[in-house]
Amino acid sequence: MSNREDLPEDTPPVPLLSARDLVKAHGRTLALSGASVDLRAGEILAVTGTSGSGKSTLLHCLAGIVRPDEGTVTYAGERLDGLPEKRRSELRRTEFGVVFQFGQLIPELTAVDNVALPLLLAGASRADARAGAGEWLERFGVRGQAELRPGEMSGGQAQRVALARALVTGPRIVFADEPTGALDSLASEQVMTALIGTARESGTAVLLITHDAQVAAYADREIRLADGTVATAGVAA
Amino acid sequence: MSTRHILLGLLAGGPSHGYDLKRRHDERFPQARPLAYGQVYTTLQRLVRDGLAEVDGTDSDGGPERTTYRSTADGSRELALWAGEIAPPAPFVTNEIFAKVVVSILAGGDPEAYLRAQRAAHMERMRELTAVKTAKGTDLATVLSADYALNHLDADLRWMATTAARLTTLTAEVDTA
Amino acid sequence: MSAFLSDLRLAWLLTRGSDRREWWRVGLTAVGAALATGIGLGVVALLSLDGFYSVSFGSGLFDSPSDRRNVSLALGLLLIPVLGFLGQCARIGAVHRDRRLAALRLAGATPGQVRRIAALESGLACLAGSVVATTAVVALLPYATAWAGVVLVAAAVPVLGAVVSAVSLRRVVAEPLGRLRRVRPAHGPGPLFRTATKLLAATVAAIALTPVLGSPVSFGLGPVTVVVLAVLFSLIAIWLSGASSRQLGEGFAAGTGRPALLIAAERLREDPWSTARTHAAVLLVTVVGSGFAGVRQVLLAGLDQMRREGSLGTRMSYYTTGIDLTAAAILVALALVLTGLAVGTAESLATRRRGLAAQVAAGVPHAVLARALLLETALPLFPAIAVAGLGGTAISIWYGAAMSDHVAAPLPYTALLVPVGVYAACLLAAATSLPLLRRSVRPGELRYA
Repeated sequence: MSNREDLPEDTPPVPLLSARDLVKAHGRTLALSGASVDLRAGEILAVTGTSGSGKSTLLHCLAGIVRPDEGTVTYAGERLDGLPEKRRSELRRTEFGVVFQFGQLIPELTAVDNVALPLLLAGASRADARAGAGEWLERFGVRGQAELRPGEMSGGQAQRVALARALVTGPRIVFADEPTGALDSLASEQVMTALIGTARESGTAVLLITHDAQVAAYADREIRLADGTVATAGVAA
Repeated sequence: MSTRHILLGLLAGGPSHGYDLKRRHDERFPQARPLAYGQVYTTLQRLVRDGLAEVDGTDSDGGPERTTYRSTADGSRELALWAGEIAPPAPFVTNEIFAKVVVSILAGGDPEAYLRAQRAAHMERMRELTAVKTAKGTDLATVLSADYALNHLDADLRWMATTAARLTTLTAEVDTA
Repeated sequence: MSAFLSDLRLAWLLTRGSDRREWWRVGLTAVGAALATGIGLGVVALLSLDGFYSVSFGSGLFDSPSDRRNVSLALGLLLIPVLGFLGQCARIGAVHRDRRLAALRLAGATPGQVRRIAALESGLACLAGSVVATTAVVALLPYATAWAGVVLVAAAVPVLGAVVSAVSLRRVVAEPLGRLRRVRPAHGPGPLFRTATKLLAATVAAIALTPVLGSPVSFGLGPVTVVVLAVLFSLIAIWLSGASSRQLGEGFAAGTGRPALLIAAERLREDPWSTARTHAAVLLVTVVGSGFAGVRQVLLAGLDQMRREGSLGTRMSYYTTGIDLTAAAILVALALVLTGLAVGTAESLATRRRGLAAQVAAGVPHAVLARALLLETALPLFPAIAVAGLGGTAISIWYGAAMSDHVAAPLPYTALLVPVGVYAACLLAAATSLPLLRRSVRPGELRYA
């Protein structure tokens, strides 16, 4: 569903990320049945909906983690759905950041090494990568946990480390799938404040999957999924 | 919400005049409906009448003359009593949204469309409050009062979601009753 | 009896409803049990023969009682890698199985019931393997006259399997919630391990000093010494593997800028002893294999020389058959060990597949994860196999020196080739799980929290 007519006038004509008529089946279950989404540069978009409405599958298609069965995904003028996995993997590493409910940190690596990993993959030296990672940990208030492993931190701390890892390469879009799903309300607020504050400062777009209205309220705009398609779309004031 | 007791509370810190009380109230309770000066004035009159506060004196500070008030011993007692008393947890269920849904069914309207619109309005208000809360340099009192409202709006939203899912059954029940 | 039947029904229901990995465990356990039964029956068949027989195969190696005793000893030694393999199989899907049984406990099952169900599950798998092996052996071996022995072996394997399974589950049974959380085994080798090492070292010292002091017990400088030395070297190699894992992990983790090496090194540092256990059998085979290769070289050279001098008592094939059979046994052991290693690597991947899927989603290239997986095997095995190989070489050189009075012993260079070959084979075995890596890191894994 396009909201072009509702957008403010200064919006660039081409959205940063755009999906049209996505269809994706898991076995015999249709997770997406014709969903269309636009994400503008620097925009924070919440995707809400009940469990099983296709939210996570939509995120996987948009982030190039899976290929949709039908429909197109266009990122900065490039068709994502046709790219080979190698190139999509590179895009996810350099242009995108991902945050899941949990599990995106490598349990055996310390916080600082987890955050440094994307920089190492980009070819940075260990010292530079760790220094860069340290700055992000500082920014999210988890510098003191730098040498701890994910299992030794609280859920909120681990999730802030995960945010640091997603943002350390300076991505243009962060994909967050229920980033506060496993947290209590205070930890959830800290994580969301850190994510949204940083995204607004750096002009990073965020696609935020959540079933929690209080989390969705951090976004500029909300779309609701029902049965694999966009049910309603709201626009920010 | 008892304006009497809130004014008594503000007076507990020391004598103060009406305009000052209004200013401090609005500061302490951000996002609340601001107190009208007239209301402050009449409430102070009643406190004096009931012996809970008394006139402390007048000062002019070079401007117009202002009466300052202070709390009495009775006032302090009354305040302590009120502050320790629990707020009655929802003694009456007065829910405007629910009333509108039922009335809409009775009048053959579209309760589903109403709930959708109400949901959008709630979300809009939640985004506003979240923006206030996350703005740079916001004080804790503002954050906490925004949180209070956010949690209530969230509760409304969840109630609306389950209600929307059960509208058919509700319609049948209302129509046969 | 009705309690037994209801437990049996529950065990069957639970196994049937469990995921594919549990079927792997059941299947491989059955294969291991079949091997154990086969070996046991072989030993029984050989020992049941009395006096001198003329066996139609084996170049006369099975003809005399003393030869048969030696062959059955070698067969018996083969049970060690088979048991190691069974131990490895028990770990497939173990987390899931433990969780399932703990849930059963929480649902009100008594500890005894849970233990019985678990024992039934593995006991039945072992019984299947045992039945298949017994049928095959009885059909093939007309010499198996000791029916009591056959029945004993065929029954003992499933019973042992059930008992071992019940014992290994005692922690789950005791604390239903305890095993839901993964506990890291941070501890090193236990007191048993240290005592065994000391005892063996003392034995070696006693053997070494026999010529000087004169011995209270007469140690033949033959097979006993070889076995003791081999076991000692492999124990040292296990310890070396564990201890060096930690050292290597710490060393590489601190300095490297390569993501794959960093991940592998940190994993080693976190849990150095889990790999040490897996590698124990590899190292044992390396010591034995390397020692055997060297000894074989010297032995063949000596036999060849004796044949040319015409001083050879019996046919050459009598000796070469024995040597070939030993080689075959060692190769079987190696195959088992490599399968165990492959299973262990696959299991480690399977338990981590959600985390790995998240890494791939975050753009970590497959190649990096694959390299980390291989390095995890390659790094700790390198020093351990090197030492095991040196141990084997030392055995062969010692044997060569002992034989040099009689024959012109060649330098046993083949003993050095074995560790190289084993190392390469181990890397290949670990690499067999790479297709599984690609398959298990599907985004589908991300869908369920």
